[in-house]
Amino acid sequence: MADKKIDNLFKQQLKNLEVSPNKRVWNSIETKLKKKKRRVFPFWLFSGSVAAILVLGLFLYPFSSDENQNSIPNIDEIITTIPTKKNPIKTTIDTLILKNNKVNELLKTQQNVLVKTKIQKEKSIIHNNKTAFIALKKPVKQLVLKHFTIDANLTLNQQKTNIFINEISPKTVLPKIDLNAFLSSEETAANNKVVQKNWSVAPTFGALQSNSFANTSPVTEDLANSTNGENSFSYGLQVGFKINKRWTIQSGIHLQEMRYSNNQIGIYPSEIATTSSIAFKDNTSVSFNNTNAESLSLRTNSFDSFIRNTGNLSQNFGYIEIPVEMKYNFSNNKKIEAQLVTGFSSLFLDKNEVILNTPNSTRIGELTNLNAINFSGNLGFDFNYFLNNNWSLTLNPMFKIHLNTYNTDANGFAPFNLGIYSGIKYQF
Amino acid sequence: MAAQSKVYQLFADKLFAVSLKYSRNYQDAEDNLQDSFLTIFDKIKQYNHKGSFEGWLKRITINTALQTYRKKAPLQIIQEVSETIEDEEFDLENANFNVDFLLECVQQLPDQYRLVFNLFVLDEYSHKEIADFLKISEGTTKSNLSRARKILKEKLEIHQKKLN
Repeated sequence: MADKKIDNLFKQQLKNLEVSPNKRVWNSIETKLKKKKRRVFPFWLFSGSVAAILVLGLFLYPFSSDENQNSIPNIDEIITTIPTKKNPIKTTIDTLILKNNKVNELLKTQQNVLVKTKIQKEKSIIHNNKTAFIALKKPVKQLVLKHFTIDANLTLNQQKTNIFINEISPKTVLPKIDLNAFLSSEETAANNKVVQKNWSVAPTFGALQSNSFANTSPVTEDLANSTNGENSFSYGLQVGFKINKRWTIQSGIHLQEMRYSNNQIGIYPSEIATTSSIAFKDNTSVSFNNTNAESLSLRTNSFDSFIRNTGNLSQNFGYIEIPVEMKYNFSNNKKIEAQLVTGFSSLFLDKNEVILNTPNSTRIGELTNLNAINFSGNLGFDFNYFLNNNWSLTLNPMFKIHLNTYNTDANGFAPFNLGIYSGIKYQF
Repeated sequence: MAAQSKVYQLFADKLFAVSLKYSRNYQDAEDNLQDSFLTIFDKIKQYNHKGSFEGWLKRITINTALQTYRKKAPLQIIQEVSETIEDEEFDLENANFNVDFLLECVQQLPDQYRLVFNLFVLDEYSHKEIADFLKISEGTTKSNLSRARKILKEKLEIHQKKLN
């Protein structure tokens, strides 16, 4: 008895207590919120991790949705609760299960307590003729909802309070929907179709211009200043997943070619081990020199027994490119979407061809210092022009810096390419 | 920032009272209120409009306090109440204790006793739920509660005697 009295004493005095905190609390919250906003998350880290998730998602997506529809937990009682992971209190605080009807009256006498009684009968539903699933609720259970009314007098702005109540209170007592009925209802299926227009597929074609930051040649240092980037192309399939209105993550597979050429260079057979990185298929060794360099005449004089030629060297490399990129949509236009693209690509060497053309012969070889796998850092824009809900045209200027292309220092040759990709995108 | 400010204005008083009841003192309660609001603004998008918003806010506030004191709990030396106190019924109903004094009594309870008392008496959680929150057994929550009541009763009596 004494326990009840003590409890009641504290309940009466402390339960609906309100105390205004000092203003400094808000000030310190405000400064912390501002600081948080200013903190910039390293973008590349973000895009990298999301990229990984997308790739995983691409594989898991079709399977996971199947599983969800078919597996039904085999238990007697299903309590649908708000899905929370971090706050286990959430689901239980407002519901109190009582076994005695008398408690109703007891609670009604207390202020600010609203009592609602629901008695639910046993329900049994058979789903798919295979899995018997019974949603059972014991009739003795009662649901007592405590309704916290906001006392308008206690707040500064009465109007605001009212708005708040309007927003919140109608949603507090949502009817519980039977899980099976919900899953199998056509409404849900229809809704899903409208919402899930997150994926996009676009066949793309791009024109590339390859070049290097350093004016050297990966073949041999003698060919510095004569290496030119050539135009090449890239084609492939781009897959995107729209995370939200602003962010899209994309991947895909592309075939990319890079071309360099050295025109009008001096070529002479070399019997000593070659300093160049080309291995020709006929196993001959060749040395190169720039014909425009005067030093060539000196060299031919000292090795006059060698036949000297002038020719063109062209290098063609093909890569299978798998990009992982993040796109940020910075336009608010519905018809035209403008996005900033950043990310990286993994490049798998697919074609390694060096062709040496002289007036007399054509020799084919390959570069020995190329890595089988390398990467590129990508930056660019993506413009989408929407034709209708599903189709759009894309134009995608990109700048890609290649990393780890050569397994030697390659005379400091640092390739990059500029590309303009275009394609037709289908969203679904 | 304006939206956060409004939420704060509307609920700060209620949540500060919750913080006061669950904390050791005024300073701790201010810290608790601040941490709670930072969590609230951080997770406000996770609020799913089921159940009352105020209830959600209150739960976060309580949880913040639980996290603070649950960690500290093992280090606390709990002062035992003398069991020999005479069990004479004294008139609690007619006694006029003011809110500040009652709040102080609650705050002065050992951390775990205070949490259990608040959760059970003021926020009406069951012993099972409380045991889950605090990661202790139901037996412990029950004994904590009865000890808490005992301490409170003792304090009220002493206070009463002083007044008389």
